[in-house]
Amino acid sequence: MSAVKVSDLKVGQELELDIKLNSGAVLFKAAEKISFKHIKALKAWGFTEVAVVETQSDTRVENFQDSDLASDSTTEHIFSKSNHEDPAIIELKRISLSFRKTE
Amino acid sequence: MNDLNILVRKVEKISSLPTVFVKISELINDPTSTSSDIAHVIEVDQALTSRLLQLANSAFYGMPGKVNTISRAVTIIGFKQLQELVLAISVRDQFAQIGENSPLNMTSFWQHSIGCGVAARVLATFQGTPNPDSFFVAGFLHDLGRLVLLEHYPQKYLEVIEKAKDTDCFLHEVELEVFGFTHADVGGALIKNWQLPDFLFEAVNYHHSPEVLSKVNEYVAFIHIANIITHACQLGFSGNEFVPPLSQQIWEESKLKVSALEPVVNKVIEQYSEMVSFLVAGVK
Repeated sequence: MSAVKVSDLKVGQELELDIKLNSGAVLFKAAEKISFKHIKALKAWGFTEVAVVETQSDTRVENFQDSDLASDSTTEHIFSKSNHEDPAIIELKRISLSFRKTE
Repeated sequence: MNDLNILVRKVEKISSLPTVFVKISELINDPTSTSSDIAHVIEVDQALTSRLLQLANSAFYGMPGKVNTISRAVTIIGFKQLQELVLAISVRDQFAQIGENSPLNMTSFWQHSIGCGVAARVLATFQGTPNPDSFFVAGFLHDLGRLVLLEHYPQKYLEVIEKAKDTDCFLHEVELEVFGFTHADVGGALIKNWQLPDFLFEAVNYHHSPEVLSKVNEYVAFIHIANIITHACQLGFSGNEFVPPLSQQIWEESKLKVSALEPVVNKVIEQYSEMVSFLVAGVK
């Protein structure tokens, strides 16, 4: 197990322990795979560090997340049902991508 | 009576509108009532009082000085706006017990609802539309029907989620196939049964199909667009992986400019986390 800063979390890493709110409610369960949504939620709830399972693939995950290709594929996936020629959608895709990169 | 009406009747018996909301509505319709009368009703519920005061003091309202009493909050926020906020908080509390049996992560679900509410309010403010708080409530409640389906058919809804994932479809498309109606239909029917205002009915009932209306009002238009913004920014998770299609007709009728999207999203992000901390605390 290793404690990792939320800002350093990588997509695909696995939670070692349940993430609990002050109320005792479980926000995320142990063994869940980290996604962009997990990272955003952890930041929104003010978590600074979480325990993740150490794996040999962490380096590969890091490289994957850092590439523009990874971000583009997420954007392309979530917008796959949209009209890609619509100027409003083109702008939203741009905002969506930059929003994820700054998260 | 069709399946949708049977479900709504069943829900209505279990999930009647909270007493505090009904009492406040009665007082607001009574021309002789004062802000103190309304405050007395709210103050009976300590959790509601605390949340309303937090909201009144939030950046969302941007009020100068501290708001310490409900009576003052009523004066500042306004009768109608306060009534709508009470509705949002009450519905959130009403369905708070879904958590454990739900096939969806309810924290993420409420985050999505808040994201849509905040985005709708920001769009309304940006376009100079009156009563922007009403847009928050309409956006917050847009997926109300999904709560009903999750609560009453958790197992069947899990199948809906899995099928939507396997077939790359939207949840509402699979809902129609499995139930014969969508969460938008359920939400709209429940709002009608609760005798809530028409703007809420239209915004909730038509958020996936606004173009079927012969005349689209700002609520329908902004909730449709706010939902798309919320999906695009992945604020929370409603169960759908994909950004819903943007209706070209609605976009044109909204009179929004493409250049407005970035400042709108920036404002949404600014207000979102604070609203999440007020309205999602304690969700299982």
